[in-house]
Amino acid sequence: MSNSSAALSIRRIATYQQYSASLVVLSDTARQPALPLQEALVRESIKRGLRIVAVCTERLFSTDIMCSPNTVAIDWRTSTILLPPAAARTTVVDRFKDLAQEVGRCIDAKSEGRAMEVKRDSDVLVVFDSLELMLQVSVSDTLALLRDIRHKLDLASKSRILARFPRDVFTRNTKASVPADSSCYIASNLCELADATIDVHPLSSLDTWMPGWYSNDQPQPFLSLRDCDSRRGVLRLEHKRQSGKVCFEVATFEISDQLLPEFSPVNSNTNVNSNASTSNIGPLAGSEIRTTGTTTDPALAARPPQPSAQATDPAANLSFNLNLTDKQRRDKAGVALPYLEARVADVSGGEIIYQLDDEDDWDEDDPDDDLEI
Amino acid sequence: AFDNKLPVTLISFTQTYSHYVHILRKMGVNLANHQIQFVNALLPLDLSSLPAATRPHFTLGPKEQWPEFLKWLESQPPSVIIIDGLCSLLDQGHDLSTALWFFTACQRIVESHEVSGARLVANMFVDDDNTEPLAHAVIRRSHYVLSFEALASGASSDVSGQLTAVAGHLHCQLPASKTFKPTVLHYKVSDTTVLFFSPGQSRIVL
Repeated sequence: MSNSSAALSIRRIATYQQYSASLVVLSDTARQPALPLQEALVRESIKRGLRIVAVCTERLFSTDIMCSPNTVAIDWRTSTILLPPAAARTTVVDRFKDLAQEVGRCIDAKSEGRAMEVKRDSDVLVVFDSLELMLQVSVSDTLALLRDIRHKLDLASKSRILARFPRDVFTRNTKASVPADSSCYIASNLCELADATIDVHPLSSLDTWMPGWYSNDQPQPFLSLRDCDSRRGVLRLEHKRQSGKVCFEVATFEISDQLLPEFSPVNSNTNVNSNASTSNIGPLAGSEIRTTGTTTDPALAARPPQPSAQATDPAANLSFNLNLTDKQRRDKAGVALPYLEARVADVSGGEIIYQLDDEDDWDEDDPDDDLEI
Repeated sequence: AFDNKLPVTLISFTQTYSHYVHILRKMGVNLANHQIQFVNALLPLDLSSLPAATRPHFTLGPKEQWPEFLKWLESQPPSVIIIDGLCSLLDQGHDLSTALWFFTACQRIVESHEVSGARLVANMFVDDDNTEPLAHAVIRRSHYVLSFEALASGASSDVSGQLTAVAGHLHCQLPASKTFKPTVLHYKVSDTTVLFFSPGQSRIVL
């Protein structure tokens, strides 16, 4: 991986270098899934020797993850969270408590009954396949569960929670004229709780990407072949550090053939072809906003980053090349302009030299002499 | 499913059994040679007085009786479960979580059999803001998504519409996920079959 991508915060978070993030929320939409990225991050954690506690509320993860000796699975698909719609409130609360206790036991569990290649006291990654069903059952209990599990983790270690969240389900439908209900606050509450929020977008979003999300007002197709590449995409990271700084970063990701994540920086001035490789792009200007306490100022967060010192090149986004090579520049400088010497030679005055033709009848007299003016 | 000798369980929220029987007969399918079970989800009525040829094998009652239906479905042999008109649950007044619960429960039953070929196919309309959240949720739980829509250029007598086939969110967990290529096809619905072809490759054009 290049040096510029090594400086990316998202890569440091994914590879457990330097930055700590106890609760990482990965948000996606129907257009761009985050499941491949989530599984790639889990595989990266397995590769670095972390224990995995996989909480499966809807589906199991891929076979290689579930069968890894590092992984302990909590299968809640058939019995618990997926309750009939008329389930009693007390039943729901009890089941969330049971889940919290079971996750706590797995975090503290010894390596019994299963050959584990990792030490008992190694760092742990608690991964939720999706928070959608849990949030639909009870938002408050889900947030309480995440806080509870985060308390159990050793914040000084690499242990963290990784959860996937469908943000288009829990944000207001902007097409409808209905007033906002509580669902639009779920996403903001969850992001407020998280230490790092990773929003995944299709690669085609780079064409219209601007800080604060700018749309060209064209209706988005329900399904598009351009967006159908779950192994690549754009992500926007919001990372709240322990010092109080909030870091925003935009990068592209790609799932390699080894099913591990690879991140590349993005130059927002470059027009990216979503079908092309993502490895041809320059450094990124991320923005850091210092905050007081643990809350962020929305006004500060909405401020766009400082403009780049590089001037915008008008010839950057053309389909033909207007730039000159070094040889062309030398040849151009060596061209002798034909009239330049004459122009700079004599500036004393002008003189008209006229050769009379045979038909010309030149008369020295003034033709207006006979006028009585 | 019939070509692979798999039984089919058809759950319909939009049509009666006789509708599908007529269509299958026009397509040349002899129902006597195939196993098909029909679940009536259109009318919560007792239809046992109907002739055997068009009598549903199960009638889906109100929401409170769905666990009983799921137990019946689980007791059936592994099959291809087809849900026609999943979005009708929203039209009936159920909320998104209820419709999704029904879909997910059927999906669990299919996965519990762990039989090659057994699958769940759900059909729904996506034409207004009411059904789009359900469509998004179903895409999240799908391996493949087939979108049928009209031609953007307008109606045509030679082409009935276009099909966009893309990978669902769960496709990355399949072993063949790297070889699948999203595609767009045009199709023409005739009396007895449906013809699929690449855009511009219709026999009439060529």
